[in-house]
Amino acid sequence: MGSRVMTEPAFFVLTALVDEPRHGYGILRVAEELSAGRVRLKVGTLYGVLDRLVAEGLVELDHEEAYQGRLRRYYRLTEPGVDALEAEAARLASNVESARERLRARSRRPSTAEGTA
Amino acid sequence: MSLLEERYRRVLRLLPASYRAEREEEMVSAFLEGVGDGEEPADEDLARPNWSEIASVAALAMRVRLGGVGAPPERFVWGEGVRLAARLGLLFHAVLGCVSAGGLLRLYGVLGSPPAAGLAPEDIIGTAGSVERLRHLAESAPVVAWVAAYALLVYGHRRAAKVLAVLALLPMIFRLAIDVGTVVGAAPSLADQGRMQIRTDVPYVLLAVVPVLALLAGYHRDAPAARRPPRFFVVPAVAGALAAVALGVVMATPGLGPGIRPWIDPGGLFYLLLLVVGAAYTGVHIFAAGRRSPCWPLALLLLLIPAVFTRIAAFFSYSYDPTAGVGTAMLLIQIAAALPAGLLLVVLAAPMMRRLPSPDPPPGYGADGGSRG
Repeated sequence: MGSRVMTEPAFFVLTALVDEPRHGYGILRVAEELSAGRVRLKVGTLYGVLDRLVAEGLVELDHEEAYQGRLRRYYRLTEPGVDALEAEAARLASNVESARERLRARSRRPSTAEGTA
Repeated sequence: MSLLEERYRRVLRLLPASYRAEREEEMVSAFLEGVGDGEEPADEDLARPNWSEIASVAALAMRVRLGGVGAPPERFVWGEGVRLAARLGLLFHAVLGCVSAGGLLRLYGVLGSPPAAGLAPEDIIGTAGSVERLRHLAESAPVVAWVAAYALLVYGHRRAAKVLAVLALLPMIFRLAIDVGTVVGAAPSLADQGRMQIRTDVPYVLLAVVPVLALLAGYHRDAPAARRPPRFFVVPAVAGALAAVALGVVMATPGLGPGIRPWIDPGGLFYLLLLVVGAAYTGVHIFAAGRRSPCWPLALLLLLIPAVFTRIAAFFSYSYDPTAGVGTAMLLIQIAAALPAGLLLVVLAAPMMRRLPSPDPPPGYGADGGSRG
C-alpha cells in the first residue's frame, strides 16, 4: 500500500482472504466475524477497498461462478498482498507490545494516588 | 426482480456506466446476500437499501468519477479539475480572509493605527473582556478558518483542511437558516424584505459552498498527495495585502463612480479572479501548447456558475437602488460576458477531453485482468 498506513477495512479484507479465495459477501461476513462485529463494511465501501487493493496488486480475481442465478466473483491474496499484510500485522503487534510494556511497568510501580490526590 | 433489488440497482446508477457494466451484478449479489442472509423483508414496500448503503455507493461513485492515482485519464482529469476548483476557491476565500484579518488587526490596534473614519474601535469591538469583544472575536473566527483551511490543504493535511473549511462555512449557512426562519414567521411586509435578503445571500453562500463541496468530493483517499512548495503559503497573505491596497486606492479615488462597485464586492472580485486566471490560461493554451491542460478550463467552468449567480443577485438588488446607474449596466455586461467566457472554456477543454482514452473497466477485470472461471 505504498508508504501510506493501511486502513482498517483494507486490513480486514486482506485478512479475510488469507485462508481461501472469497466472494464479496463472504469477505463482508468474515471481516465482521474477525472484528467481533465491529467492522460492518457496506457494499460500496468493500468495492472501493477492493478496487484499491487490486490496483496495488495485493488482491486479484480468482474465479467467478453463478450461485442461485447470481454472479459471485472470488478474490485471492497475491504474494505482495501477503507481504503487505505481514508488514501491517507486525506494525500493529509492535504497537500492542509497546502499550502492554508500559501497562506492565505501570502495574509494577507503587501506587502514587495518595501523593497526587 | 424483487423491489429491493430494483431499488438497489437504481442506487447503483450513481456509478459510471463502464464501472457498472463490470461490477453491478456482483455488487447486487453481495448486497442481496447481506440482507438478512438472503431473506428480504416481508413487506415489499419497506424493502429499500438503508441510508448507509446508499451513502457508501455515493462515496464510491464520487471516488470513481473524480479519479485519483491510478484512475483512467478521463476520470483523473475530472478529479484534478474539481481539486483545482477547490484550491482556487479556497485561495480566494483565504485572500479575502487576509484582507479582513488585516482590517481586524488594525481595529484591535495590533497593526498600524485604527481606521480613522467612522466609529471608535470600542464602539465596534467592545472593550477588553466585554461580551461584545468576545462576540466580535467569535464572529471573526471564520476569517481565520478560511486562511487555515487553505494553508492546511496546500501543506497536505486534507482532513484538517476539510474540517476547517466546513467550520468556516457553517456561520454563513446558519445566518441563511435564520433568514429563512424569519421569513416563514414574519408579517407580509417584513417577509418580502426577508425574501430579498435571502435572494441576495444565497449566491454568496454558493460562492463558498461550491469550493468546499469540491474539496470534500475531490480530495478523497486516492487523490494524489501533493505538498506544495512553501511559496504557496504566502500567496494569500501577499495577494490579500495587494488586494487591500488596491481596494483602498479604488475606494479613495474620486470620480470612479458606481461603475466600479460591481467589481469590488466579493462576488465581483471572484468574477475578476476567474477572468484573470481564464485569460492567463488562454494565453498559455495558445502560446505554450506543451502546458495545455483541460483541468484549468474545467475548474474555471465549475467556479463560473456561483460567480454568475452572484452577479444576477447583485443585478436584482441594484435594480432597487436609484443611485446604482452605471453599476446596473456594468452588472449586465458581467452577466452577458459569462456566456462567451463559458463557451471559450468549453471550446478549450472539449478537444483535449475527447482525445483522452475512455475509462477501462475497474482494475483486474479487463480481458487480461485475472482468470475468469
